[in-house]
Amino acid sequence: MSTARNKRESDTGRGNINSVQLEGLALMKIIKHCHEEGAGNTEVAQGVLLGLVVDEKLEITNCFPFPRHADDVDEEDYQLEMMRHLRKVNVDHLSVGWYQSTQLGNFITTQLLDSQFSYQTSIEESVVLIYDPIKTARGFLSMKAYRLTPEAISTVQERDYTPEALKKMRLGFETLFQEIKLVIKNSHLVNTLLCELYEMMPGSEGKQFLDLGTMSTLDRQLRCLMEYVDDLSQEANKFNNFQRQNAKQLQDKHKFMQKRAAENAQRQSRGEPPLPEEDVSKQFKPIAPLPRLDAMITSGQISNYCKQISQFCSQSLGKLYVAKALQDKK
Amino acid sequence: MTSRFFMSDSESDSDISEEPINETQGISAVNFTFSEDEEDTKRIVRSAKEKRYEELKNIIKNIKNFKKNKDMANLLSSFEDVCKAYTKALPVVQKEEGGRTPRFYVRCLAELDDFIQHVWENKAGRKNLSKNNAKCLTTLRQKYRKYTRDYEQDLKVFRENPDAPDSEGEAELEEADDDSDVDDNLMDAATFKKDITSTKVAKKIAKSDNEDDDDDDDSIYWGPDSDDESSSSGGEGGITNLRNKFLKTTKDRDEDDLKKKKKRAPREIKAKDEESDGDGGWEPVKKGSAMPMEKPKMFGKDDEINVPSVHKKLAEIMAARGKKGTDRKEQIELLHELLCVARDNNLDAAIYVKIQFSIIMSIYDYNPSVSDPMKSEFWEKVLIKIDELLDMLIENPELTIGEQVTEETESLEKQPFLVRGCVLTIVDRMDEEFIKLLKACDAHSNDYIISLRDEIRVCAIIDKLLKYEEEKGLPSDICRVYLRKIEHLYYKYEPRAARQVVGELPETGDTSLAEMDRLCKYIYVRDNTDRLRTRAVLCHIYHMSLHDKWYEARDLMLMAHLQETIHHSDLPTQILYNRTMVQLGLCAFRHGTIKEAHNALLDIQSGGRAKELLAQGLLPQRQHERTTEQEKQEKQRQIPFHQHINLEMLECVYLVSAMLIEIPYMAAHEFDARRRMISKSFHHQLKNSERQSLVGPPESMREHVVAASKAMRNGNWRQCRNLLLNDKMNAKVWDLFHEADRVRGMLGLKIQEESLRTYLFTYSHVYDSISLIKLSDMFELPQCTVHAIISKMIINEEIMASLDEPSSCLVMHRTEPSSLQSLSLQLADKLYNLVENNERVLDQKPFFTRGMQGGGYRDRRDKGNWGDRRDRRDQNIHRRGDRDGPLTCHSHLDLTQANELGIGDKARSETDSNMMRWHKKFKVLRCYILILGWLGIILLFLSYWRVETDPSHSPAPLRVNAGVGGGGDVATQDRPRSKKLRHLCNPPERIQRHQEGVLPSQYHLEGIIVLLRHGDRGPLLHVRNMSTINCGHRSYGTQIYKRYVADILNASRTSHYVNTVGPFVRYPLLPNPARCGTGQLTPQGVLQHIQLGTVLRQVYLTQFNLVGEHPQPEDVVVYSTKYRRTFQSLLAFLYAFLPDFTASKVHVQEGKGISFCGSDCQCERTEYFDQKYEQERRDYRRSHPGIVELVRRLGPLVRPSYIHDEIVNPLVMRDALLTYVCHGAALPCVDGRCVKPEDVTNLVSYEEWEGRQKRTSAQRKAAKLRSFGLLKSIMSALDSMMETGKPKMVIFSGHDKTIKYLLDSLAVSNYQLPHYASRLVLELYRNYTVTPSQQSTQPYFFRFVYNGKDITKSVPFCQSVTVKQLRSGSVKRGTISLCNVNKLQDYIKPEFYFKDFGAASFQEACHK
Repeated sequence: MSTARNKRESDTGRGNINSVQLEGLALMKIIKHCHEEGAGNTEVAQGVLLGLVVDEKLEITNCFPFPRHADDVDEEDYQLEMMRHLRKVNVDHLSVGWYQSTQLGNFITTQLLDSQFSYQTSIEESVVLIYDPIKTARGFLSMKAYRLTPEAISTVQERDYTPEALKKMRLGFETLFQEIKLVIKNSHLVNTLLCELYEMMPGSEGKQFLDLGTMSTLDRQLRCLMEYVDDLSQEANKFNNFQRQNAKQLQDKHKFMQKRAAENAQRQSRGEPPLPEEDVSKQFKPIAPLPRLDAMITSGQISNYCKQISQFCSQSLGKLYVAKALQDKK
Repeated sequence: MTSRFFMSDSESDSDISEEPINETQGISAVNFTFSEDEEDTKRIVRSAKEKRYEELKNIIKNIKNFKKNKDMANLLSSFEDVCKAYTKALPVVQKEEGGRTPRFYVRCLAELDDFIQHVWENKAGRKNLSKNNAKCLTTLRQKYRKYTRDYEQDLKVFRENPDAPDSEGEAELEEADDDSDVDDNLMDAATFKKDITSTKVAKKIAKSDNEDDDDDDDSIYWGPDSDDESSSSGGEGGITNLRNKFLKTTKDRDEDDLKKKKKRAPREIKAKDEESDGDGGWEPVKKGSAMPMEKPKMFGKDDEINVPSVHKKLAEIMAARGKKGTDRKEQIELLHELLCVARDNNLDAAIYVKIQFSIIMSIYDYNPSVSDPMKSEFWEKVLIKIDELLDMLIENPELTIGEQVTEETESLEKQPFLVRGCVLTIVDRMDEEFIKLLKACDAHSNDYIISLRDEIRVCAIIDKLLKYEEEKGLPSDICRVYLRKIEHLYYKYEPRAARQVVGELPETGDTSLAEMDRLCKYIYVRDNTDRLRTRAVLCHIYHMSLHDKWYEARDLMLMAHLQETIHHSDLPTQILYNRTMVQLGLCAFRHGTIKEAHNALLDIQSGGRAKELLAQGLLPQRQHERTTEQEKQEKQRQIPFHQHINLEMLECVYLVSAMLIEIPYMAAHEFDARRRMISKSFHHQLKNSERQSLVGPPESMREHVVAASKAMRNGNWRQCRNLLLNDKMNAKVWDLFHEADRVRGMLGLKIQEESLRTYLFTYSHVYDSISLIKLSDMFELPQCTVHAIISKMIINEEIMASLDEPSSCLVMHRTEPSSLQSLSLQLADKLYNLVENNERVLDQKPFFTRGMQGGGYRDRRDKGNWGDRRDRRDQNIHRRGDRDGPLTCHSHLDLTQANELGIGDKARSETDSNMMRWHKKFKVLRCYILILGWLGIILLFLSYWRVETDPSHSPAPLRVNAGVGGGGDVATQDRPRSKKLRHLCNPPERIQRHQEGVLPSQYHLEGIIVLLRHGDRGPLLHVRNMSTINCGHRSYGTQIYKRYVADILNASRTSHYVNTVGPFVRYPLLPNPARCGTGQLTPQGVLQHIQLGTVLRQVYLTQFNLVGEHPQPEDVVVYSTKYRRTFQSLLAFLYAFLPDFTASKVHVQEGKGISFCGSDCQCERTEYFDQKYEQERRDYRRSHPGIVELVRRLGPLVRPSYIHDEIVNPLVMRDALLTYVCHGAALPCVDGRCVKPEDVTNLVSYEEWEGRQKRTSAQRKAAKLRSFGLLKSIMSALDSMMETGKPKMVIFSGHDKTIKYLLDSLAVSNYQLPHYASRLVLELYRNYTVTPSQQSTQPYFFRFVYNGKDITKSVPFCQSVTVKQLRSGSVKRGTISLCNVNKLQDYIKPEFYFKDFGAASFQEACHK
């Protein structure tokens, strides 16, 4: 379980955290919180992760949730207070990130980007854990750790999402977030308990893996995907318009310059001073380039969905084949 | 004359001074002689001048006033006015004064100058002036200075005369003084003398000559002016004279003014009085004695009271009408008194009527404001008066009253009486007042009811008027009265009429319906103003709707075409239109036609402005406040309360109708991406309720409907009905209908039906099959109703299912895409959009294309592929019948697309690293598309798996047109026996040219006769699974077919078409696209004929150019039997065969019977031979027990079990099986036993074998009798071709039997029935090498080509000549033989033709 300790990437330029080691206790707490608060409605459950950095590994040993309706409580005060209390009872109190629940994996948003950015700029080793309660309920524990890539951090710092800047940074939607390997670690006692429990489990349990009621999930995922595809295509449209405007302006400018040059040549031949070129820039103010952040995030979200769907489909296909074989046997 | 002249002078003091001058100058003589004319002409000249001067003087007077008040602002404006007025008067002044400025004007200017000077210099005073006044003063001063520059001369002159008098009155005196130098003494004396005398004279004259005062006035008026004229012409000149002149005129004017003022008020009265007095020689009434303001005595004590006098008095009183300060009440009283006087003196009715009129008018006048109602006591009075008036009119039929009677033509004294006035207007006004009165009351108070009681009286008056007008009035007036009556009638519900409609009472003419009918029809006929007719129509419709005469009301509405024009009519009519539409909608609802009800109410209800549209109340406006004016207008338009339509009921009816339409629609289109709302307001209500976090039990009407809708969505009809039909709703809505129970029953039934539909839409995907009995139990509907509803749904392709009748089950076909499938389709659509957008982005970036080295991305990517894919996808959507077709095809395409994209990306990323971002984007796309591919595979797999695991489900319907495996493609398999099947089905591609039109050079093609069999058709008997066989599976959707459909539909809309098809004009043009109808042509058949037409066209039209570019109508003769399939085949054939079919003038004629028997149809013997032949065939069969067994075995498989007559004839069985085989459908299976392909081939083989057996005489004889007519018409066509060269082509479109009979009668061996789209062509040739002199042989030859094979040589009577041997290796193998036309002529000579029968004519042969 703790093989990650030995794994160290030589490429240190990509960040100082290579893997996340999640304590079973913290995981259970996250799951409990998210199921109680995050499942079933549209709101997300969030909380703070506590732990330590060991070399390039982030060990998360504890966590606590944010209160849901924090109208009267200042979040920051609450966090500090909480950490102080935790220190008093001698629990790890170093904030190393945060966690969030998600529905159907629609977590890549600007808010996530902003929060993670502020975490990572204040506490460098911060990660965000994304937990999907619905998927977990179907038997697949879905917990993922993400960090912003250095490029993303520098871009967000500049707040410059123009196409040029993104191109320079070589930032795309896949390089926006970086998934960190996540390892769950339990104490040996817990491991033995698990083994014991496994023995005690009745035979019929856990064999319903051939459940084929999959259509509704696929359905929902497709709907979400469609929404985002719509968004993206709107973005593309916007960009298209922007380009058209830009091109038109360039053309106009070019025409104007040519005219001006001809005029200047004429003036020169007459011995008059040439007209200044400055007013061109006044006349043609460059159109503000379109920020590409939304498009990037939408793309990221879409690719996320695609991954999910394809994973889901391959699983379902497998099941179907198995079921078919069983059917044939009968 | 003189005396008169003098008399006139007598009254003015000043003229006298002039008079002597006149006389001395000698103009007076002229004056005297022409005095009268002179006066007239001068009058005109004077008036222009007078007018201008008066204007000026008025302003000057104002100026004086303002000066006194020191009102600078007004002074300024008056000054400007006076300047303007003077410039206007300038031409007159020029003429009159010889270009000098009038003295009075100069005086005014001078005075103004003084005043300005004065004010200006008084600085203290100036400071006291208000700011505005001070400003005006400055402006005035400047203006004045500027203006007076032109008049300096005049002013100077004026100033020279400092003694200029201030007022004109004084001026007059002074002037008299001035003049006195000239002829002072004389004047004075004369004046006085004359004054006295003239007055005396005047009086005398007045008595004797009965001269008018008016005339006197005139003469006074004009007299002096003539003097002026003369004096000026006299040129006594000088300023003094000038001044005199104008002073005189001014004075005159003033004098006149004074007089006028005095006289104006009493003049008319006086005039009248005097006039009336004139008759009786009465003393002139003293001035002021008849002033109307004081309570006058009507007539003097001993006045004679007669018609003219009363009339005069009346006019006098009425003259005060509308004047300011007239006491209206007093006027009414006066009139009453006059009426009493008239009555007391027993005057004629005419004057009496006239006075009544005036009274009514003045009562109407009493109320000054138009919008306020009358006072009740006046209202009462009006009612009584009008009633009296009408009574009077009816009593005196000799009296005519009307608007066309003018003041002059009025005759009050003599018969026939003519009185000016319009009763209609009075009654109209009364009606308006009545409505105003009603509107003024609170609608819920007792007052309203009390007021409403008067309606009876109003109606009675209208009835009375109606009676009167019917007797006397013009049609236009009658129309008006009728409309008045109609408007009181149309909104009233008469139970008796309603019962009559239902049929409980016998039809009598005395109900309101009949009355309405009579009145309205009169208006429709007689009215020539559009408005009356429109209103009458609307009222009529309203009334009929009210009494549930739904169809009549609807038809009238449709016929009236009001929808288009109503927007141009006035607002009250539009309101009436709205009311009518609403009533119509309600009627439709009661009648159970929900859709119509919804449509009628939609417009009114959609904006939520029903109240306003029906003019039943004002709605607060959001954007802007109404002005009071607008509000007043709108209030005027409101409908009185008792005519209101219940808005809640209206809304409820609308919502319920919307629910009944919308809920099933929503259920049916749940996954539709482009679903449209039918009713917005209904959706609004639904959404509103969904937004609520907690939905309580329904309270209001709307909540009830919404709750009911929700119940209906789940198919829970019972709850739905209970929610709509309960006590609460009854009280609110349903009890308001006059036949509430019937409506409730109807509604309940509708709810059951629509719930059933909704249920089927919503849950059909859960069922494989559902029993109708179960459904009818669930919805408590009789089974036949359920059956009807479901059948309708199937026909409308709302559900993909079929009814299995023996088990009375509905079997679902599962061809609707599931939600996941439709989602995938939507996603694909969206992805496509995204790709498009991205491409556009790429196209724009100039550097992208630069980096691409030779052509952009767009070029590399196969554009056509996308388009193609889209087309195919669309097609797939159309053909939902294909169960797993859309998605598999789709996913494959997606995958290839993805690969392609991937390759594209790779290439690009190599060439241009700049485009990384875009590369990524496409990578995402590729990812999506891959996913789609996955999805597709999964779905395919799922559906497949499902089928496999469901053993109870018969696979047949699922494989309807799967096109893979099974017996579906028996015909396409290339085994030897299958070839025969292929031959029988005759797919279009098989139809090729063979031996048509192959001939040696010395022959020339003269004409052709073509006999066609119709194309591929459905079976003649009903077969199992017939509804699932897709007869258009290969053809429908091909390019050729699509083009044909488009062209033929276009052609059918031209006027040519009707001429072309003649008797077949009502036949459908096209076969059913997919369904196999018994004996109906299929798209495949159409294609066969298109192909056949193309082939024959190439041969005969292109190669031989038989008819040239544009076939004349006489070139082509076309016959078709009276069957849809032959006609449709013929259309397809002609479409391909004739160049430009749509423009050609071909006439299709109807052939008799199935074998074009012409005049020789009736024949009893044929039946005898048929029976004999049938017997022979039965014998054949008996010798082949195998085939009988086979047919018996196949029978139950092929025929649905509920049909009990079995197929015994292998021929029929063959036909039935061909339906499956030719349309790619699976051969039928029952309980695991299936029809095998071998069985089909066996049947075909047997059929062939039977055909090969020796032809018996019975068969041949029957054929001969049958085809005699056809042969005769062929022969006559040939004759005509040989003689006149026309027609060039004769086409018969018939059946297999037609061809078979002909072949049999020609004794050509044919062992197979002609397949679909068979053709038999007779080609007529002329041999030009044979000279006509050789009498024995005609130069004409013919040959038969049957399905591309020359069969001439097998015709026994022909003794044909083989002309040409075609070598093998050529496509057209075999021999070409020709037969002389003589041979055919001989053959069909009756004595020869009927030799077998032992007869010499057709009749003989038939009767033996």
